Amino acid sequence: MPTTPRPLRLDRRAFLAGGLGFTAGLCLAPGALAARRDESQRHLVLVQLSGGNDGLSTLVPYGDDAYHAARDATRIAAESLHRLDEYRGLHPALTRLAARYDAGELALVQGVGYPGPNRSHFKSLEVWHAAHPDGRVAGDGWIGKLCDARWPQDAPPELVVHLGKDVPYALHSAHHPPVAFEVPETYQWLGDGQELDPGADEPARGGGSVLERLRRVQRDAQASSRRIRHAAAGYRTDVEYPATREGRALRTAAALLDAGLGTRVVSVDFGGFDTHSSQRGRHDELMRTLDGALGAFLADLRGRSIGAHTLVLVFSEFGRRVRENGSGGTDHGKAGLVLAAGAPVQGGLYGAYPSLTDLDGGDLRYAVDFRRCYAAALRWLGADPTAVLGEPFEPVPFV
Amino acid sequence: MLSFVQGVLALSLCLGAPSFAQEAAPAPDAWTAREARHLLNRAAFGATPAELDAAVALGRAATIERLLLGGREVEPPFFATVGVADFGGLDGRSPAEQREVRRQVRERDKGQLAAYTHWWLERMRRGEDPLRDRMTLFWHGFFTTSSKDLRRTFEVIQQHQLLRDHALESYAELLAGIVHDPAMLYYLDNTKNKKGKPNENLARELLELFSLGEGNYTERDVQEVARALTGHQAGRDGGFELNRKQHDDGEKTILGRTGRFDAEDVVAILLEQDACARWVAGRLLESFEGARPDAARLDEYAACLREADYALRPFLRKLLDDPRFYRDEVVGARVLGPVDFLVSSERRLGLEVSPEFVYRAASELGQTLFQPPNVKGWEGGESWITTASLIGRGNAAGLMLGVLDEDAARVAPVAPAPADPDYGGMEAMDSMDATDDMDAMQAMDGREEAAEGDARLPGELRALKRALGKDYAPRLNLTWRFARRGLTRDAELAGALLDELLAIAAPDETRAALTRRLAAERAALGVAEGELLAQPALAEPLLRRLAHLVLSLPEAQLD
Repeated sequence: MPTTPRPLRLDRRAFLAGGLGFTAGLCLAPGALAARRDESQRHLVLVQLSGGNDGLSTLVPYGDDAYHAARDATRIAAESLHRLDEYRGLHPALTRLAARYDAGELALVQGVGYPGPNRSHFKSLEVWHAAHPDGRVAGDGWIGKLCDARWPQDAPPELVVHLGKDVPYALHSAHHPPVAFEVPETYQWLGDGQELDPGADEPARGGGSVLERLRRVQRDAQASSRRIRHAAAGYRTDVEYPATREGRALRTAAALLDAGLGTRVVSVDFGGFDTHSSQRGRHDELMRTLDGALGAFLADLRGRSIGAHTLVLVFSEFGRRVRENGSGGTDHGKAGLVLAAGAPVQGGLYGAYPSLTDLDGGDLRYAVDFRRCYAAALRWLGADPTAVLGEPFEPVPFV
Repeated sequence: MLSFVQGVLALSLCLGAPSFAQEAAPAPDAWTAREARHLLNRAAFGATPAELDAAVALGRAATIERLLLGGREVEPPFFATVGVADFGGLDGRSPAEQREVRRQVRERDKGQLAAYTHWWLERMRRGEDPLRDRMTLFWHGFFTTSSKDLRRTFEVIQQHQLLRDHALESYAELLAGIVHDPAMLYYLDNTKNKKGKPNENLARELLELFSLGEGNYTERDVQEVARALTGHQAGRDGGFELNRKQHDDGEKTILGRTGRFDAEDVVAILLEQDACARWVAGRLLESFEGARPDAARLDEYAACLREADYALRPFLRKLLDDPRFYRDEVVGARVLGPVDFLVSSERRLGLEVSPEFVYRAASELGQTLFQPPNVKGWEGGESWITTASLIGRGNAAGLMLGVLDEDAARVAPVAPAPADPDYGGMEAMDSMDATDDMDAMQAMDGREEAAEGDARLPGELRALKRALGKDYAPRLNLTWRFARRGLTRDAELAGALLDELLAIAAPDETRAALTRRLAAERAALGVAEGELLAQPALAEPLLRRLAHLVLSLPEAQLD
């Protein structure tokens, strides 16, 4: 079996584009008015796999002897995989996603990471969320910075929505704090009459005391509650979403985007990926859950106009150690896998599969800075990636 | 020993009937109602007007000492390891009988954690030893373990007892205890950390979150500490066991020291580090003040910890007596956590709601006791407040006050949701769901009816309402409370509601807005200003609705 990953699209495009190619893409090319209108309808759906997803068990390098040598309890049999080529295959449970790959609507970006990798969940998540090696001391989250760069300050509160209880730092924004809820049905204040509004002057956006910030949250809640409940309650789809928390969240995401409330970014958090022990069964289940929810979402989008304008980005704070630990699990690692899915995506493989033998402290070395994935999404959304990321990154051309 | 509340109440009785706090006489040691309120907000679970008066009269130093006294010997509810043997074992039983035995085991096991949780919440509500309960809550979010990841509840409760026993006494004891604590050893996979096959999960979090903070150790340190922790396991009886065969007693180099270190040595080495004292001091200061301290102050408090060998009372005494703890940027500027919000609202209202309600409501609001979201614990601060949690806090207050407007749920027709209410994961304990099946059925009923436009509450709120008890009615008489104080004017009544129910002093615009609302609603009832309390049947529902408004305000989320 070949053990060398085949050369990939990214390399060709990268050389072609050189240093200027991607900045040119930012400027509005002649006749790009339609494209601009198009951009104004685009949506980004962020799926976070919290805990550190094992990339080696997601896109399995079954053709690599080093994989078989390093993995035992977590090794996935080659014949059960959705093989993409003679080197790698998708986890057996990723049936729907494999179909999207075959349809050219799923991009797999391999070897994604950042300089000075940190094996702390929290530090690493901060880096991904702030899109900066300093983590949260670098200011707003990257989605917050995107909002500032791309959308007006009077955008509706539903501009950014997190479907869950704990809002990730990526959405932290002085000017565009997200609307967050888990269950649309209970997203309603049930008092007699109106909530009390002292009518205090709206403070300067982003500034003010903690009380002023909370007042802003309350106004956003009041403004969005009814719209969101109606959008969710009125949503009809033939697609059957799995009855998991993840499935419900993505069904709600589809409802919000379909309702046209002005939502541009939806964030969801799929947890449980910190598989230090007895990984095999747990990770299989996680993959089933991911495939079920995301597969249903993509199928649902295909039948709708929003489908052409929705990009899904799936990421995790790090991959896991190449060699299994003694507990049938894997410890925190470095480079990982990013998935980009949806009709706008140019499916395929991006980046090279990281070497399983040339390791960095037992971990895969990264070759693709995660901010290059962000840059692609940012450019597609019509924002200037350099303005958001603080420095130029060449977009991975998956969209 | 006299409890905290008994103490302050006894004192206040000696001094005559409690007056309203703001009017209390100056205290012996330069101590105002503002400071007393702040101290009891942060070191206790908020104060009732009577408690505030008593604390003002007692004086600052004495109130702090009383808080620090913290009785240690408190009898917890009985808990034990629960297994099939307690129900006659599985031998010779049919598969159906075995299932039934296992169900009984689960039920008793979950039940004891529920009972324990209720006991803890009741202690917070009663406020007998509030600083210990508050510090236990702090350590619960610091040395986290989630019951979701444990197979049974005995170890969970046992760990909580460890945290509680040393909550006010010693961080060093806590750190030494936690590396031998079975719940922690399971939670962070150390039971699988074996010689030659290390699992570094506990070692990493021990350095990153429990002692030094990220950036103060190397990857090598993590690996070496993991070796020192090999063989730390737990027995079937729930006790700690050192498996010598699995323990790596070879030489290790940790933070610049080399030796054949075991866990005790690791703890000693960690406690020697300046980073350790700084990390713990920083987390404590942030918890009490709601913001990170500046570098100079952090150094000062870290030194205080080191000098006292990590004894906690000297640290807390220094903090609670520190004028900087009472400065304007600190007072009223911290966001209350869900448990804090619920318990302190309950206390200020003078209500007694079921601890199961508080548990469930806090859980809906993002703080499930015994199930922190991850090993870092609850993020806290402003992250508690989202658009949904702010709405949820108002609804929880409305349920407590018995004024939730169930008809309003009809405004938006609700589509049927997927039926499976259990999304806690395979091993989720859903600890308090002893009535799982019934809940699920009723929740589904609710959805169907709601889909037909019925005014029933959506599932989560119905479950919350049920947790209050079947015939719940708030035992509350705001009319009497305010009439006794001689309040009549709209502005006085609105002011009293704000002063009593908020932890912070309400801004003028909020006072004016509530006064306007009260005046408008009173006028709509055909009652003249000054006459409202004379008509209790009209006054009480109105005052409760206004109390609900107050607790739904952003101001009510701060202390």
